[in-house]
Formats: sequence, C-alpha cells, structure tokens
Amino acid sequence: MTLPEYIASRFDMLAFQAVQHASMVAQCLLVAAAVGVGLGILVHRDERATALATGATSVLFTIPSLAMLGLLIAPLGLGVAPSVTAIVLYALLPVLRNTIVGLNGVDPALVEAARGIGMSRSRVLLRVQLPLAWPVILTGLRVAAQLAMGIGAIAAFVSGPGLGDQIFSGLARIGAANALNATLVGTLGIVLMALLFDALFVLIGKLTTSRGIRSHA
Amino acid sequence: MSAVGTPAARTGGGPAAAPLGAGWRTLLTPAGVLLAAVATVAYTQAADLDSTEARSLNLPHIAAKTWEHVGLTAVSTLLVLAIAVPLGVLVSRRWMRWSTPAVLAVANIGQSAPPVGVIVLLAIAVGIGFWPAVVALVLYGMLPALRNTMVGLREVDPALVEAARGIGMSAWRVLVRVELPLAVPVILAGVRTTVVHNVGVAGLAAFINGGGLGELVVSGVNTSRVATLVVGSVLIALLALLVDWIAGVVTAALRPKGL
Amino acid sequence: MPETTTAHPQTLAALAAEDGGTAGVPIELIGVSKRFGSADPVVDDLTMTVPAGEIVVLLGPSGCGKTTTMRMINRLIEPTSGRILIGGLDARAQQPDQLRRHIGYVIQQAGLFPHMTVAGNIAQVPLMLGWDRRRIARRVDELLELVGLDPAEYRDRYPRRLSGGQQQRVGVARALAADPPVLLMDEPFGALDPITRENLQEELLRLQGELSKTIVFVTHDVDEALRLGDRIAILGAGSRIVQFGTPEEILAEPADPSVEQFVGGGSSMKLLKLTRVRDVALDDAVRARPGDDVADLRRRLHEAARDWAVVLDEEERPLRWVGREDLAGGSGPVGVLPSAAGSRIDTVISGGSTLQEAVEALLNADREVVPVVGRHGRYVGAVTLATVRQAIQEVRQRRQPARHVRADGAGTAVPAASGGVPDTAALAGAAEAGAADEADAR
Repeated sequence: MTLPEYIASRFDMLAFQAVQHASMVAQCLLVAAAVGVGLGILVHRDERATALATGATSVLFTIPSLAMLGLLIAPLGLGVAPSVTAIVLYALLPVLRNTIVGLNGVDPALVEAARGIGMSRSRVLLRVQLPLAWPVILTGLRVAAQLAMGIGAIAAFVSGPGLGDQIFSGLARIGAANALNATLVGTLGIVLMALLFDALFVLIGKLTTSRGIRSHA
Repeated sequence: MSAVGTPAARTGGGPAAAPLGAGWRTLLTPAGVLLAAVATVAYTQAADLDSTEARSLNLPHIAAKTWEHVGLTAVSTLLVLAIAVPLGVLVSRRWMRWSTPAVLAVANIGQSAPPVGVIVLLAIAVGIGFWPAVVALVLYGMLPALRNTMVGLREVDPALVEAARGIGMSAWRVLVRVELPLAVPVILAGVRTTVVHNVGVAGLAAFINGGGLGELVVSGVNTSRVATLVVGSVLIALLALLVDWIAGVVTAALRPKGL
Repeated sequence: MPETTTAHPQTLAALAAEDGGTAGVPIELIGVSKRFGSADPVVDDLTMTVPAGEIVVLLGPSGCGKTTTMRMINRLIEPTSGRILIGGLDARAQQPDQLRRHIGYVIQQAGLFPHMTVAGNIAQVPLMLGWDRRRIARRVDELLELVGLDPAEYRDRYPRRLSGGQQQRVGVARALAADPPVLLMDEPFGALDPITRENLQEELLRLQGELSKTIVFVTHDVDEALRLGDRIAILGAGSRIVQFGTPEEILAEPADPSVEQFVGGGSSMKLLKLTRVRDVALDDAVRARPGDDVADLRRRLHEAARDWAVVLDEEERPLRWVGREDLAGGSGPVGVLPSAAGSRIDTVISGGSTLQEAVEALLNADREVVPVVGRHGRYVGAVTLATVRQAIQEVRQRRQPARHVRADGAGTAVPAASGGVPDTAALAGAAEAGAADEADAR
C-alpha cells in the first residue's frame, strides 16, 4: 500500500487524530499562556522572584519528555492527564521567560511618561507594557507551540491522544505491511501541523502587533 | 537573560540559552542530583520488589543501563560536534552564504519533527539497536549545533572581520583567530542544547532496542510496574540535569576572556 | 627581518624592511574607478598623489566614496580599473595579506578584538610577520608608551575595560605595530566625545611629528580635516576631486560655492586657528637694553615713528615695554626708570602659536602688542591687531600661501611665494624652537 492509499483508507481516523492533536496543543498553549504571562507579570519587577521562577521552569524544561511523562503517570495514571500536564509544563518556560524579557525590555522612559500623564500601574501594564512586549511574548508562544507538537507525539506512549498513535502503531508493527506508512503519516503530519501553527502565529503577530512597532511594515 | 526566540537563543530554546542562575546552582545542582540518585538507587535496594521489578531494578542492571545512556549521549554528541561545527563554518563562508536561508529552513523544519517519529523511521530504514539510535540522535542533535554555529559566526561584528582583514590576516587566520573565538559562546550554547536534548532523545532509544535508561520507563509502562517506571524517569531526569550542569560549567570555562 | 634586501624591492614588505620601515612613502592613485554591479561608479576615474610623509584628508559627505577610495589602497576593495602605486610599487602586484601587514589600518571605534588583551591586539601583525616573542613584547611596550598608555597598567587589559579614547589609542598602536610606511585612518575619532577627539587629534599630530608616516585620513568633519590635514581632498559624488589643496588654500580660495558652503562660514576664524605666528609678517618694536641711555632711546623712537620700545635682557629675553611718556623728561640708563603699571611683560607667544592664540593674548594684555619669542625665549618680533589683520588679508590674496615649516624639518616646505617679508628669515630659526615652546605658548 502506498502512502496516499494508506491515507485514503484511513482518512477519517487520521483526520480525527490530527484534530485531536491540534486541539490538545492549542488548549495546552492557552493554559500555558495564561499561567506563563500571569506569572511573568507577577515576577518581572522582582529580580529574585524572576530568578526563582525561571530557575524552576528551566529545571522542569531540562527533564526529558519521556522521564516527565513517566513521573506524571505515577500520580495521574495513563491517558490525557499526564500528556496535557507535561505539555503545559514544557510550554511554560518559553512563555514565562519571554514575558519577563519583553516586559523588562520596555523603555523605562515610556513607563515613566505613562505614569507622568496619570496612568495607574495596571493601566500602564495594560496600555503600554503589554502591547510593547507582545511581539516578544508571541515569539515565546511560537516556540512553545513547536515544543508542544513534538511532545504531543510521545503522549501516545502513555495512551494520550493525537497523531503520535500512528508512530507507535508503526513501531509496534516494524517489519509488517503498514509500519512505514503509519510512522510517516504520524511524523510528517506533526511536522505539517507545526508549520501550520507557526504560520498561524506569524499571522496573529501581524494582526495584533501595533503598526508603530512592527519591524517591517 | 535573553528572550527565547532571538536568533541565538531560539536554538537554545530553553535551558541552554543562558547559564541560568549561575550562582545559586553552581554546586547545589550536582550535589542535589547525586544525592537524589543515591536515594533512588538505595530505594530500589531497600524496597519490597516483586520479581518483575527486581529484574529491572537490581544494581548491575541499573548501572549497565545508565552506562548505555551515557554512551549513547556521548557518542552522538561527539559525532554532532565533528559534523555540525565544520558544516556550520562551511555554509557561513562568503561564497556559501547563498545557502544559509535554505540550510536554516531545513534545520527549522527538521527541528519540528518529533524525535520519536525520527527514531522509529530510522529503525524501519536501518534496523534496530545501538547504532540506528545513535544515527537518530545525531540527526536530531545536529540542528541546534549547526544553527548556533551559523548564527554565532554571522553575529560576529563585521567591523572586526574587516579590521582583521585590514591588518593583513588571511581568510583562514581571520576564521581561527577572530571569528571562531568570538562565536564560541553561541556555538557552545548550541552544543549544550544538543547534549541535553540527546540525553532526552537517548531515552527514546529504548523503543528500538538501543538501550539506555529509557528501557526502565518502557518496561515499567508495559508491565504496569510504577516503581520501575518512576526509577527510570527519575534517573533520566537527574542525568539530564547533571549533563546540563556539566555543559554549563564547560561553556563558562571555554568562553574567551574579555567578552 | 627575514626578507633579503634586494636592489629593487618588489613588495612593500621589502621596501619597508629596506627603509627600516620608518619613513612614509608616496601613494599614487592613477585613473582609479570602482563600480559595484552596473550602478553608477562609486569612485570615478580618480587620480591623486599623496606625498610621502604628509597627512592627506579625504573630506566629503557620506556616500561620496571616500571610504571606498581608501579601502582600495589596502585592497580591501579591488578597483575596477586604474592603478595604485605605494612607494612606486603596484599594489595589485602584491599578495593582499602581505601588503596589508605593511599598511597600518585604523577604523572607527578601533575595531579591537574583544577576546584579546591590549598586548594581544597589538601583537597580531608582528605575530604574522614571524617576530620572536621577546621582540614582540618589547615592541608592544614601546608602542603603548608611544601612544601614551602605561604598558604595565594596560598591557594585559581587555578592550572592554578601556574608554573609547584609550581603545582608539590602542587601535593606533596596533596599526603602527610593524612600523608601516603608510597609515590608513577611516573616521578613527568619529565616535568619540569632542574633548577626547581633540586630544587624540593633538596626539596624532605629535606622533606624526615623530614618525612622518604617509597618512590617508577619511572624515566628514570639516574642522578635523582643517586641523589635521597637510592637504585636504574635498570629494564630491563619485569621489570626484572638487578641490585638493592645503587647508589655507581651501579656506582662502574655495574652488566653488559648494566647497565654500561645505567648509562653512566663519572662515576668517578658521584661518586664525590655522595660521601660525611664524608664518606671518611680524611687527618689530624698537629694541632697547637696560643700559641704554633714555635720551638716546627717545631719539630712536622718534626716528622710527614709534610710541614704545621693548627692553631686552642680555639673553635677548623681553623684560618690559617702555613708552614715550615713560621716557619723557628722564635721563640715565633705561633700566633705572621707575616701571609703570602694566609695562612688565608677562605674556609672550611663540612662532608655533596660532593667530587665534595671538589674538587672545592681545585681548588679555594691557598693551595692544604682544612679543613673539623664539628659542630660549629670545625676542624675535611682535604681534599687534594690525599684524593679524594684515596676515589674514595676505593669506586670502596669496594664490600659493607659505606652508609652515615642519617642526622636524621633514615636511614638504613649499617655497613662500609671497616672499619679501622681512622677518621670515628670523622666524625660520624661531619656528624650530617654537615647536618646543608651543605648550607654554600663551
């Protein structure tokens, strides 16, 4: 069976797994964005809190995905829970770090000016700091999305959802008829979705970044 | 601290982008890691294990798997260094500059391929065992080192290259005396990413009989033995932290003074 | 030096070895053009000669091709056509890297290698020339002294720990490492603050006084060009030479309105800064000795139609002014006259002082005259406001104004076309001495 035939014969299931994969990644990113940006806002003023938060997330980040999943199975069991938790934890570091860097990268003179015309702290954050830091934060989300896609593949090993299932069913049938097709579909499908997500983020960046600070108009 | 996503740091993509918390982690990390490793191994000896668990969690077996894991990581990292840095230098030469965007695009796309997919594909293409796993690790680990070599060389201030040419250095001498030393921090950051990556990806080698601590995790999941699974996971995690620390220390030591 | 000395050196390296490397050599650009792609040429058929041992400034707006012109001399850019001769040798016939090791090169912000110490930076060219360790170490210390940095303190520092001015000093030291006959400087002081810049310009002139290199200096700063250049080439688009001449010529007689505009207004003030006292016709006061008879002096003043005389000691050093009113009714030696307030001379200027400094001294003095002294403080003449006005007018009228004679006598002395200035001969001696006195000119 050729690759197109393989895809055609299982199109419904593959489409379902692809959507599942994408939706898992998207939801994890939303959680990571909320937690990462929120945490970043909380700690970015305080040097020690910043060091603690980035230190802790980078330790998490250093732990290989297989080990992380293994550790999460113990309390959470198999399935969606450990997969989603692992992805969120990995996605946290790029989002958090870029939020802090982005916020601290805003010209202090601008913050000063905003305070000077009578904006409250929260208004300065909302109207000045976050919009200016947004491109950097978005880049962090992009990196996080790429990571999440790849880690999503291993999730199938702990019975998680997504296209990883194709890879592991290929692995299980090495030597058999459709092993290569299944693995290829899984791997290339994830690459393709990663590229789509990346393009999506570029688009979001174009649409949501103030025209005044876009690097190339 | 640098943002994830700036050219140099994006390759780092995480822990290797900057020597994080160089102060408080310097000796705490290896001490903590070793302590945790000893505790984990001691647990396997003291706990009441069934025969399946005992088969995986006896001392010689754990030592053998750890050694295999280190071997996979070390061999693949050395190969990556031997291939990626010269290749990065080559495509950064002026007469090869045209290839930079293409190489970076390939590297970026390659990076988004899930490592487990790459490993399984190699097993199908080449067979199972240690060496196919090493090939997969090299392929996957190449990208950060290659990209950082290119980025590091590209970011050397052109005025300095100009000055070096201006005082009569040959192209080769400019590369060895000026460009490479100045690119070293970025290149090393890439190598650090590679080696930490490789510790993780080496865990996946277990799927294709490549050995390593991943075997404990895989057999733990397959036989529903949580103890085996957790011990394997903990040891991989500790190894990754330790390797990251060592790479960080080496990076700091090799960084040219004056920068 | 490993190179064997041949009768006719074929490379700049051999030439430098033969000369001991010290003296500057001329640079000739003959019909040089450079075009990138099919666009208009950046440098279009440029022909000019940089005389040996002179500082020639390429001055022009950004984008006029002055940097490209300079970089063709050390072949960082290859000319599309034309010939470049350095010391009479074709630059293209030599291996570029070898060539560059004998052409000092200084760029903006110094371009020091941040991963090497100060000594490491300076040692690069000697290393490539295969000098031994001891000789390099000696040379490094020598150069650091030369550019005014204490070797013990700065040798092992990294560039990061130097100020901008110090970095540029090291940059100059690095360029001078192999004692090249030619120095190319590409806006070297452009990124420095005005005070540091002025200090380094002064230092460069001092160094050039000692070394007499041939220096091509690129800048877009008119004042810098006027200050440093023995000659200035004002370049227009395509490196077309709009005017090539001494600073005085350019100020006094701009080739066209564009130059006039570029050089800017206040050119009289600029001329004051540029013209040295030794180059102008001095006034001469009636000279007197403390032992001279008052009545006799009164008669001499009357004959010379002057109101005052300068009293000199045995060493010819000016002591005080005496006016007709001081002498009126007195008798006996001049030395015993009661000294009137303000007649004591405590402000003198030297031949090396600029006219601007002379004017300043005049404004601060109690008399409308300031004595000029030469070697050992000997009186050689006097400057009044009339002298200054006359001098500026003459510079403007002269087609070929007198070049000031270099302190070391090595510069090209252009014959003084105007001639006939009575004190020129006396000042030639004063000029030599003047250089040493410049520091305490005021």
